[in-house]
Amino acid sequence: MPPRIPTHSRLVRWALLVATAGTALFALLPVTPPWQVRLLYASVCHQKAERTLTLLGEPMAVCSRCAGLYFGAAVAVFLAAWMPRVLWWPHRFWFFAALLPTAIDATLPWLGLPQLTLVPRHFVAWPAGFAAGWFFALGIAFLVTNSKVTLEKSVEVGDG
Amino acid sequence: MDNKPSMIKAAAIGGLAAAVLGGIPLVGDCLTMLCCSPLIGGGLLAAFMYSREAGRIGSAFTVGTGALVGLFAAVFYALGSAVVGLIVRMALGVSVAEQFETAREQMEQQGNMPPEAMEFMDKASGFLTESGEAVIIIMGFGFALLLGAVFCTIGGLIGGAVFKKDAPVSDAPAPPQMGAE
Repeated sequence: MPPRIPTHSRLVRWALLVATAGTALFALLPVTPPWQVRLLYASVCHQKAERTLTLLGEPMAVCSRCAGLYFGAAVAVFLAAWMPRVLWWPHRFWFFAALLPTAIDATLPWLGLPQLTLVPRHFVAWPAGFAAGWFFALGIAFLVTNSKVTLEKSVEVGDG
Repeated sequence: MDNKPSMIKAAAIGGLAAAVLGGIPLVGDCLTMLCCSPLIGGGLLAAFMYSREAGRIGSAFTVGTGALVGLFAAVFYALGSAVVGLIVRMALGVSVAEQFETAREQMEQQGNMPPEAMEFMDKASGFLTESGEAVIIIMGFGFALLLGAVFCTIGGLIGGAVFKKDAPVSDAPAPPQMGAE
């Protein structure tokens, strides 16, 4: 049985809700942001106009791939926060498998192959963002639960 | 005795790898296509290195340790960024102000930035031209530290969840407790 983390505790629930708010804010801020926010995001994204989605009549503050990563992560943390009983702890294989689509997409220009257009590139980045967000939520939940609790004990509590 | 590997080595490898990948212009330009990947990747790499070392000596590796290694990696990232930046500027023969001006021009060409942002960039460019190189390096270090503290720690936390290891259960009998008789 794969290890899981119980989400019964009020503390875990609150921690995940705060994490959800944080990731959602980080994902949604680039949509029609004030110029200060646009400048802030320039430190983590190239913001090239030809690679950026336009939402509500304005280009986003991050490229379509970054937006996909952020949205994917925000959705994962949101789902983790609303899991009714336990959080599934996937094998690390799934983490790396989820990174593959973005990794392949990022390699295309290096290989001289045609690149994806904006919308496909955005959605191809979702799995990587989702995996990172899910493991981030697991990390937060585990930290809050008690970093000394072993996984076996967590399963016991979760199933009990 | 609780055996724990040194965090310094793992943090240094992760932080410096992020600094080198993010700091060298050609590589950095390519990696910005992957968002903040050098930073998150640096934290993740530090967590992986630490977990491997912990596994080798039979020590546990928890999520909290991963986040802590990521945070330490941020310090190395900031230090490495300052050094790599200095080397790149020396190699290209440009000052920080000139480098900043180039970045400002690129932003202007992209046409993504509103006039207020460009005005701010002009003021910042003027300030950088007037300030000494040391002030700019210290400011850059502070900014890199802040950026690293956020993203490398997140990378380390994710790495902690991905590479988590429980300490192996010892078969040896528990030592007698003091005053148990």
